[in-house]
Amino acid sequence: MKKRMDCLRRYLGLLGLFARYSLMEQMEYRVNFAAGIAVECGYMLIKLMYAFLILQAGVSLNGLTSWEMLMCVGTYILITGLFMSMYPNFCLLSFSVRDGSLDMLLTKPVNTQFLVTLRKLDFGMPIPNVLCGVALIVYGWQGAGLAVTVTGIVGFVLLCMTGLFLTYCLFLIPELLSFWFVSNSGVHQLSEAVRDFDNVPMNVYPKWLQRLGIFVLPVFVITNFPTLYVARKLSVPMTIWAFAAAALVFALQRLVWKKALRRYTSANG
Amino acid sequence: MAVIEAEQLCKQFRYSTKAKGLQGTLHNLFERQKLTKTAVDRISFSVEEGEAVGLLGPNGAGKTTTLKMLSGILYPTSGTVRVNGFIPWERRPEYQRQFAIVMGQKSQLWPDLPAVDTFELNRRIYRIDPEEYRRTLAELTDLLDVGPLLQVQVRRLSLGERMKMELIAALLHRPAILYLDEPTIGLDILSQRAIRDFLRYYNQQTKTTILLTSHYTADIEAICPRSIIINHGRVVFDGPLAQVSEVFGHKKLISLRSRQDLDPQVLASLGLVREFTSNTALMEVERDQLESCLQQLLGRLPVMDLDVKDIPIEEGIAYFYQRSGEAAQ
Repeated sequence: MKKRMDCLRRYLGLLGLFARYSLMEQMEYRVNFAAGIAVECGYMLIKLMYAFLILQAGVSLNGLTSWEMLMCVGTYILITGLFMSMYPNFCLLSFSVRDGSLDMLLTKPVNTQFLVTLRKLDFGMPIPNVLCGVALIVYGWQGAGLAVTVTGIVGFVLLCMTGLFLTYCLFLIPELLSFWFVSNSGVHQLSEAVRDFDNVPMNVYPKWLQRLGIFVLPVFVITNFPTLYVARKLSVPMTIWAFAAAALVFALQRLVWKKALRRYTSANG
Repeated sequence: MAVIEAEQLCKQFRYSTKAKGLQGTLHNLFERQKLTKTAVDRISFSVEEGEAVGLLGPNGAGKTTTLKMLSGILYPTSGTVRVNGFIPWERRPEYQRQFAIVMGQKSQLWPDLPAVDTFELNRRIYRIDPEEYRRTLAELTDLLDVGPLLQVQVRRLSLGERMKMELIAALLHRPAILYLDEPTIGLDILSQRAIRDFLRYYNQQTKTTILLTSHYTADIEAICPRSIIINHGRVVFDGPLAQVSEVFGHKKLISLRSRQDLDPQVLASLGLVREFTSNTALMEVERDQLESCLQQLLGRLPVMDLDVKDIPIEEGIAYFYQRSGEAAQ
């Protein structure tokens, strides 16, 4: 147990150092850093517009009130923001495979996946998204008149963290295809499109698509389940499924990762 | 004791060709001709503890691929390797802490930050004791004379300075084995010499096992008492570099300059004329005919300057490259 705690502390320390170095790097290019935040604020305003459109319409859709839908949109913005912090690594992966710059990372005595997928953290995009996402969640939670309890908050945070973990695992798999196909921009765009399905609460989609998005490609688990849990609209088996789905996708992702590394051919510089 | 033991190591890459033009591209879309390239072809060698070994070979010979398999970057197609008892491509942290790799064309430094930040990251990755880290860093920066550059962003450093920083980053955890892939590529003469001097000194002082690839014979001569020549993925020579030139040991080169124009026919009667201008010539003669050749040259020609040399080592290496190339065909 002590060994595991030491290991966890070490990796968190390294993650902190990556965050510090990434921030230092981004601050080197001040204009770019500020422009990144400004562009993301623009995108966020568009998301906010349709969020408030839902609210103004004041309709309930397939069992979700407009306030609860606002929470779902807030959760999407929050998780997307957090995911965006590690996203540069995902985008860099196919380049690293193509030009062989993965080489040095493969020789370090730390978990390779940790190093490859978390060493560059972005701050420009997540800052406005996280702030806005949290604000929408709090606003929606209050407006929906949901009880603010410890179990509610803990459950919500836990399901959000599971959602973030699921996002990381699920959307890493398409990027790993670059080990086979080298250039995977088409697959990359496809996975972006799939992620965009979460833009709106899953209740707007037909039942068959909801099932597909919960059990086959569990994207709807990511941003809908936290709100459904707080609104007491998530059954126990479905709550268990949220964690099981994360564990299953993680196992699948590790399998693909290991196979991918065996395929690495390391282009010469 | 052998630190590195490679047995029948083989690495093949699959690739496909494409005919020229749009037609070739369209054809390629539906059907691709799969080919196999054998980059490393069942090579076997061993390296003793503290030894410095040079890997020589033309482009595409398999040197870098061999280093990448030894460092665990690549999985081999077949064959075995044991480095200090570890199988490299299992990528065990215990093994990864024992070696370092420096590649002339790839960097581990964060370009927008000063090198000292990467060093700090490596300290944490390799779990180096802070006091030991300070001592090692001071020693290495002193040896490589880069103290004032530690606070400069890597992207602002010259290539030579960057390479020195790469070496420091690689050596902070005091690896027992150091893999170097063309560490002096693209460097000016002074930087090349500085890196060479440092590596030779470091190898002698710390008994770190070094495996070095380079196209510069001077690197190998300065650092490695033993060389392995690889071509077409196979070992074609293994021994001291001086022995390479022994294939031409029975020959000598005579470089001469005359006061008057030289007669090429006279020169040709004395030996093989390799280069010729009106009053200068470079001749190749058999060693046992050297004395008589010199007597005749000095007696028959108004020689102003004359120099007798061994065949350059590069020609010995080229001979091995060509010979193995012909054998492979």
